[in-house]
Amino acid sequence: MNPEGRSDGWRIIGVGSPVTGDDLGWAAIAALKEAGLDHVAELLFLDRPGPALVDHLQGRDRVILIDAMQAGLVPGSVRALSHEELIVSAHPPSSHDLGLAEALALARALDCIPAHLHVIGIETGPGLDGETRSVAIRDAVQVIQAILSGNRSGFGPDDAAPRFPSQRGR
Amino acid sequence: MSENREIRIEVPVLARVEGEGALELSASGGQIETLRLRIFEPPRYFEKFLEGRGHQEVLDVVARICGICPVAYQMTAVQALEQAFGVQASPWVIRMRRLMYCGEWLQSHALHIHLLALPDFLGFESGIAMAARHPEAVRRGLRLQRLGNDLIRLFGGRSVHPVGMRVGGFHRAPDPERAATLLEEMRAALPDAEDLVAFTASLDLPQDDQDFTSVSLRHESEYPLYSGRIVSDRGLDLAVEDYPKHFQESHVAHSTALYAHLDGEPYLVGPLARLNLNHDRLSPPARAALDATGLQLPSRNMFHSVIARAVEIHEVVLEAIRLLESYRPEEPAHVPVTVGAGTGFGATEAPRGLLWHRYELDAAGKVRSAQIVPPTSQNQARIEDDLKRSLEAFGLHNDDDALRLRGETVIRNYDPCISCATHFLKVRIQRR
Repeated sequence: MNPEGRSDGWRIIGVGSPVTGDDLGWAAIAALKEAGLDHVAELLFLDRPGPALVDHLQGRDRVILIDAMQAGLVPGSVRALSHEELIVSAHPPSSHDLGLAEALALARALDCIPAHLHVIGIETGPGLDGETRSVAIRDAVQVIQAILSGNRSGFGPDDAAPRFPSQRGR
Repeated sequence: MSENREIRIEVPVLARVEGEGALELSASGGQIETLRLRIFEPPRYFEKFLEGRGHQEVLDVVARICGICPVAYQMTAVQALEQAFGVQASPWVIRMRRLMYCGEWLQSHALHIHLLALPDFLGFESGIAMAARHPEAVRRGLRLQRLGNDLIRLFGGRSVHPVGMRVGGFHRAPDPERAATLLEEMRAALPDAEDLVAFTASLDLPQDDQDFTSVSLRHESEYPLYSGRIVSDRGLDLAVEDYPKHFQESHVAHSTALYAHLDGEPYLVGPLARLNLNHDRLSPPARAALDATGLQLPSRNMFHSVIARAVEIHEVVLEAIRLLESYRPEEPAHVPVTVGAGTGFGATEAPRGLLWHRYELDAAGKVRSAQIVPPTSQNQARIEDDLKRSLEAFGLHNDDDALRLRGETVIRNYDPCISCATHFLKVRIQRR
């Protein structure tokens, strides 16, 4: 616990659903577990949490979120996203459409955004074949390992776009 | 401001409802001439998708109609399929279905009240904007919603499109330790649920009494969730299979969703209709909390829907506690099913109101035809009727922003799910 009473261990959350292509966050968590990172961070799968994501950010100092995204990039591209920009893009939520951006906006309004929050997006889409998917997951794992090790050379300040090992999608 | 002025208003998206559509309104001489709830989202064809599918697939398919109320679709379909096959689910299964259904009401109502409806009554653009000023109210909503999802997950493995149900019962009985944990969490949530009833009753809600027909299920002893006869406050009392004798679906040119009428007239389904018709079926603690608010029932004020949802949250938390206290796993968690040709009907109370299904199956248990009548379809004509009366009562002399907000608030009272009906909302007002 830090002086503010927040847990300062890392929590890594894969957000997704069982639908192929929307499960990239889950696949990344599985790969992190396989790589043994469950010993250094808490790994969670969340199935379309909506506003319940706030509960999982509450009281945490360090959180990494991984989710599939559609940003018009090459499928398999991995990006570190600015949670501030995501929040700006949030729409007024409806009962059925309360996504990651809206949940983060709600978390900010409730003053529970972690001090160190990283959002990793993995581009999904029809061109995401098996090999591309594997490379994307590997890239995401490497980015997360770098965050955990504190090796942020090349990342710049929090939430800036990192240089990814494969440099795909650039 | 003159109510005879010519004004044209377009709002590209109606916030805090589900789906896409438009509200068109034209007024002349201070009177509304036409008012259409125009739904233009493409039809989703679920009834046709079901044709030729095996009975085992039906529950997974109908769950996809809605991410918020998949349990309602599954519960209603499973009733109909079991009737078609002549299967009688065990009393344990019936109790457990009711318990699982409590979870769906809890999460759906908690989300609607706290993030979608409250901003209208507290003067905020959205639940997110409201959260900074009323964090405890929003946190209460999140706690209740999460608890409802946990209850669905107990039976269904996941809260969105759960997979635990099958014809005859459940694939497995929930783990008693998880059920015991949930019981403690439900008990801990009871003060939140009680407080919510008083909180919603203390809101400064508009006074706008209207004449409408309430329709809901009515059970011989319970507040209606999973079963009952179809009744109205105008003397209707039907067996579920007799629904088509009095309720008709029809196409209108401005909507891709079917409209439903009761003997040719609009009617209301949903929390306020249920409470109007069944407040004597509430459990004593829920009844006492309702009485303490001073709300007189039956209510003719649609804005009381937010109070009705709070009362129902209180009721389902109490009911979930009651059912979890006596929980014992039963294995197998289902009765045997012999497939055969037949026709079956189902009706349950989804969070948004009466949901009715009919399936005809062949000898192999494949669907020959399906009919699904969701609550939002049934409420569409009532919403249009309500909008016309509400906006005229509010006064067309009000400026366009005020009219638009009142119109949106009226619509949000119904918590419409156009995805279920088919989908919702731009607003265009013309005054000549």
